[in-house]
Amino acid sequence: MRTIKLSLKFYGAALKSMLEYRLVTLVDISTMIIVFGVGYLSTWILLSKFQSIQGWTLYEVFLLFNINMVASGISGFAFSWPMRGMEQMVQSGDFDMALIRPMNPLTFTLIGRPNFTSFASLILGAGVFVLCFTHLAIHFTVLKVIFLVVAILGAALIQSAILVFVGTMSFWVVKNTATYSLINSLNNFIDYPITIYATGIQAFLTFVVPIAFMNFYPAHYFLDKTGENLFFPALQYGTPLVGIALFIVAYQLWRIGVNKYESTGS
Amino acid sequence: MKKYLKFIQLSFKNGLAYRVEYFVGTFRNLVILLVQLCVWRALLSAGPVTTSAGVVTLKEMTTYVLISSMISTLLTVNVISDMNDRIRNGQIAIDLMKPVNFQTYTFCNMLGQNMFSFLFQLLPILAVGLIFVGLSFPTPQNFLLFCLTLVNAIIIMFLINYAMGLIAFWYLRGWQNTILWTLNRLFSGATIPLWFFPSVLVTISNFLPLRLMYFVPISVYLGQVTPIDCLNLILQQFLWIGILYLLTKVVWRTAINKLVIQGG
Repeated sequence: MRTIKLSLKFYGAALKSMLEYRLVTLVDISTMIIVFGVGYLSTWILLSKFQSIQGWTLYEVFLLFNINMVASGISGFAFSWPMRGMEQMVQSGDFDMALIRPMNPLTFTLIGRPNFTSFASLILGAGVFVLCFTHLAIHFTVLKVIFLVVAILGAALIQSAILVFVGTMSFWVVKNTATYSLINSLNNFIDYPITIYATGIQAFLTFVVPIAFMNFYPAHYFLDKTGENLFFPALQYGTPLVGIALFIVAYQLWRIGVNKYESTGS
Repeated sequence: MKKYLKFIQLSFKNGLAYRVEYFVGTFRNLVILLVQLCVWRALLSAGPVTTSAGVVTLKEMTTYVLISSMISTLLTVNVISDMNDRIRNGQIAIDLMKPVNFQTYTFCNMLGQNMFSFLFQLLPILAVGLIFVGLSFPTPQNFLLFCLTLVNAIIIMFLINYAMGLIAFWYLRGWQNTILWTLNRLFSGATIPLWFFPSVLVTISNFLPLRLMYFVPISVYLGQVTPIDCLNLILQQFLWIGILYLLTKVVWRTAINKLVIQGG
């Protein structure tokens, strides 16, 4: 309860400072819209020429792309800036602050630097969802709607766990920007249905760095696709579980990292 | 002249010092290449497809993607972030006192980086292409024309980056890189050849210099451009180099009057 109250205070302050720098905010949001817009445009160019890729039509691929974008937007709000900034926090010794506050160090690290611009991707994402649903003729049931929400939250947890992992790495290696770009470059794989890759890559994206659970598997259930070319048909329900499990693992690693942390001194 | 050669050499050595960045960059390039190859294999597995440039086969697209990936190592430069840093931390004040032309100095830094990328980033992709995928080779004449258009492409890329980098004199924040990179991936034909574009987008890209950097050199490599068209395209490249060069001069003149050094 106290944590929620405190976070709201912190978020309020961050929002005020953001509104102070209007031009910065505007540029950040337009950059984001251009980046995602070009992504959709490229998919549209390819699939209006070829109709489908490995059985997935244009709006189905849009849905893949969109689940990923919305989930990253949700997790990016709280996790992106603080976790990518951990490298600097550890190097400068500023992380000491998180340890002497009467609250969980991770919570303290997270609430200080929210990224409100990532909400822009939620608005864009809502628009694309509507576009997809009107074109896809999905038979909606209550169960499906609930599953979609749960899957998006699960995907956001997967992304958050990855970001916590990236932040945690800075307790051991100096360069966590490198860790981030390394993991981030894997995201290129899930812009398309992973069945276009060799089985080895599919297995890697399912069992090693399970980012395929962010969009590919839940989309299977949602689009009523037959699960015959999955490793196990049950994987399409796995996103929430994988998200929770991954986050617990990332949090345990974080705790080990915090215990290992020695300040820069002086 | 000698001092500029020294700058190139220093910048090359600088590349050797950042090993982690190098491995991450190479990994990233290989992932993007792999995704592209798999996408085109999935799309073209049913057979060749007819486009505005005639029939396109999987073998041709594979070569297109490989060449695009290779030249992207030469056309991905950090001129903008370098200039942003210099302007942000005030290093620019010292650069301006040196008896060198700032634009030429920045260009030399880029050339040093390019030489590093050529040796350590382009060659691994070439090796992957030759061993695992299979790369078509052009006629000697097309290869020479390809090299010429590529050199022009690098100069155009530098001028665009430099002009965007100068914006940091007014507005300090590294956003130009992301926007330029994103728009360039699309309109230069780096990921999707312009043959597949709907006519609206082809018209837009005809007005932009971006297609002269990826699409044109690769089309020349693939032998899809007749000699007379090729001459025309090279003239267009020269024209854009002229326009962009004048633009950088004008922006520079305004920027230098505006310059405020931070710190004290």
